[in-house]
Amino acid sequence: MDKSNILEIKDLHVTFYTEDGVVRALHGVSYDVPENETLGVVGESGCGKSVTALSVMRLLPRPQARVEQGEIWFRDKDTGEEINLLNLPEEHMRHIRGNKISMIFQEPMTALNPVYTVGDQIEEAVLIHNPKMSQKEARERAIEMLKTVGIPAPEKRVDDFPHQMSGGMRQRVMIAMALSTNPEILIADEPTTALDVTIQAQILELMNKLQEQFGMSIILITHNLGVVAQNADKIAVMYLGRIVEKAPVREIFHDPKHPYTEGLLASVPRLDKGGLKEHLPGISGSLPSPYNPPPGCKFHPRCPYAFDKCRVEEPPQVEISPGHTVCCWLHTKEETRHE
Amino acid sequence: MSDNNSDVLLEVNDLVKWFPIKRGFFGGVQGNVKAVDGVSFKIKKGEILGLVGETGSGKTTIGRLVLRLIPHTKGQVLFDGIDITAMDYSKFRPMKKDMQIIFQDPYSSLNPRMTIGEIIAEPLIVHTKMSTKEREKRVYELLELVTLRPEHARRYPHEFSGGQRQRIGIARALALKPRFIVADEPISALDVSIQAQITNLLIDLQGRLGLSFLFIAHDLSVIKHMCDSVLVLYLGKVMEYGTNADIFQQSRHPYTQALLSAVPVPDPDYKRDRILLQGEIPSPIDPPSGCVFHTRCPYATDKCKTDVPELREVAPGHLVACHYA
Ligand SMILES: Nc1ncnc2c1ncn2[C@@H]1O[C@H](COP(=O)(O)OP(=O)(O)OP(=O)(O)O)[C@@H](O)[C@H]1O
Ligand SMILES: Nc1ncnc2c1ncn2[C@@H]1O[C@H](COP(=O)(O)OP(=O)(O)O)[C@@H](O)[C@H]1O
Ligand SMILES: [Mg+2]
Ligand SMILES: [Mg+2]
Repeated sequence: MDKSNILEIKDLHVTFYTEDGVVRALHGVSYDVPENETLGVVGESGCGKSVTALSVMRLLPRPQARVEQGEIWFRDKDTGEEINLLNLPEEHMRHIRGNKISMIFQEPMTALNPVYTVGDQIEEAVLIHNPKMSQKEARERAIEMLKTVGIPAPEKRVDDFPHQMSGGMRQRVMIAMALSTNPEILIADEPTTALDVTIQAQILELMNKLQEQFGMSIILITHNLGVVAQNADKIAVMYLGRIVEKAPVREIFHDPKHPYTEGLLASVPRLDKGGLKEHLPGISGSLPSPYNPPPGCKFHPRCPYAFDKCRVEEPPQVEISPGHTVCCWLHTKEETRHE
Repeated sequence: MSDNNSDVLLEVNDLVKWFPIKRGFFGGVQGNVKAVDGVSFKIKKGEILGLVGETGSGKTTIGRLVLRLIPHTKGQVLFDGIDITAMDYSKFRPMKKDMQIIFQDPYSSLNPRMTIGEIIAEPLIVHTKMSTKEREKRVYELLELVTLRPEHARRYPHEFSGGQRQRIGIARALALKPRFIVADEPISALDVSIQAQITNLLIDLQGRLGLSFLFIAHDLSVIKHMCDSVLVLYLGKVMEYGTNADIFQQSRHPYTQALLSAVPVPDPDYKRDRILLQGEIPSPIDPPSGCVFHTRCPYATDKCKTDVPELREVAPGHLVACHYA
């Protein structure tokens, strides 16, 4: 592993075997998560953002999902060991999950248990990871965490049931639970998608503050380009089970190389520029069915620059500048743009 | 706003909607949710008015009230100068074809057992005396209008992607050649690239057909892109109302400013002053006294806690409900 990384995903292939057919959900996904930084993962629905995250957590649904190939390396800061999570016995993985790598989900209601108070649930998380702690200490820790995530009157709110809270507050509780064990990596899968912009801004600000305070790495998964532009250090853009472009945040937004990245940026109306009712260039067509992906470059049916080679051969990943990689025939040396 | 009144298609005056809160099955009324609390606006012919505000601010309720899908508590809704809230339902019925709605969720709004052709033809059967032939012709016209293909008419909703289903919903809404459309978050459930396609389609249709829209959205970037004028709602009340430029270039209400400063902008180097609102929108059952926004307003004074600010015209056509605007 590179010394600056806490997590490295290498050539991950995940396939779902379902009644309707076979879905190759991830097809050679690789990305690195640098220590104390935020990696933004963007792409439209079904491109594999959540499957990648669940692979790291080793929470893929069984028996449909199978990891066919790949490695997920994690550096355990306590022992200095480098571990391939995919080879870890479940018992050891359980210790890492929650303790060292935590995840928050888009819809907090699905992850919170409706019949227990939020306090009970945070206490349980705390106790699983600190078996020597007393009940009283765990409760104090729960209240402290609720306070850290900005819930007013935490001593009272600790006894609320999830349904007594708003969506924004439940998401804060999820964050409190995820952070109650001081993880080294927080995976946030669409953490603000269901929230109002005002509450979204509060939650993102909170995550940034906690990252500074506790020093952790964040994988921020979202389809919202604005969210990653202002909160991530590096970006990975996914399309149909592949990473099509990876770069430091400024390069992705100011100098996108992959036509898909370019198209995504041209799809969103903006507060900072653009005229009333102007045409949005965007991307033509729609996502192909995952059961029946196109040959060659997966993006070629929607790509305005596609030429013959794109239709038959999948492009390799090339590094065009330090830390900036792209999978596109336009950017391999032998080829030039055919227009 | 001092417009020539013949340009106005929809005029809403002091609209109020209270939902009674009942306890148990037989319990009495415990109080009211003041979902919409004295809202007025006008939509001109060929104009898009954007309605924006946090969840629960009353956007959907206003959309349903102006189409008379739910009864109102007080106020007026004038369509083409006629108050549709005061008339007999039998008189209102024929007016309904002029006013249509597009929903947020293209999945649940289409009957899975009907073909696309049947779905689009349904309003034609209910509201017109067209022959089968004429209906068929109109269905093909509509499919073309929303850039779907004629052979799609024979297929079922599950065979279509989210964006295509939204096109079907739009075709159905346009079937009766309405003059006014309520679009309630029509793109929020779609993927980013598909959002752009549907946005382009709506703008194109609006221009070509001279439609008026009440466009409801959470996303201020979309509102800025599409809407000629904008109404900012908070707890059922109008905070600010003006043209696109009034709201996006010189907003005067702290709530509008806070909303704008919370919108994520896809540029890592974009700098601005951020107003981070504390807390969340209060319950509409027991709204704050004085200015309803005072509990979250960074500039609130004692006056704001007691005195309700009136909606004042700070520049021609630009209205703001703030003591200090
Ligand atoms: N049928 C109903 N009975 C009782 N209360 C209702 C009803 N419909 C809406 N409300 C309440 O009225 C208020 C306004 O709701 P409305 O759905 O109009 O908000 P909205 O602005 O569309 O929100 P969102 O952004 O979440 O769609 C809310 O407090 C809501 O709970
Ligand atoms: N439980 C499952 N069964 C079958 N296919 C699945 C399952 N979960 C995900 N997939 C498929 O894997 C691909 C990636 O999905 P996902 O990671 O959830 O996308 P994203 O999070 O980017 O929206 C999609 O084609 C999706 O249909
Ligand atoms: Mg997902
Ligand atoms: Mg609504």
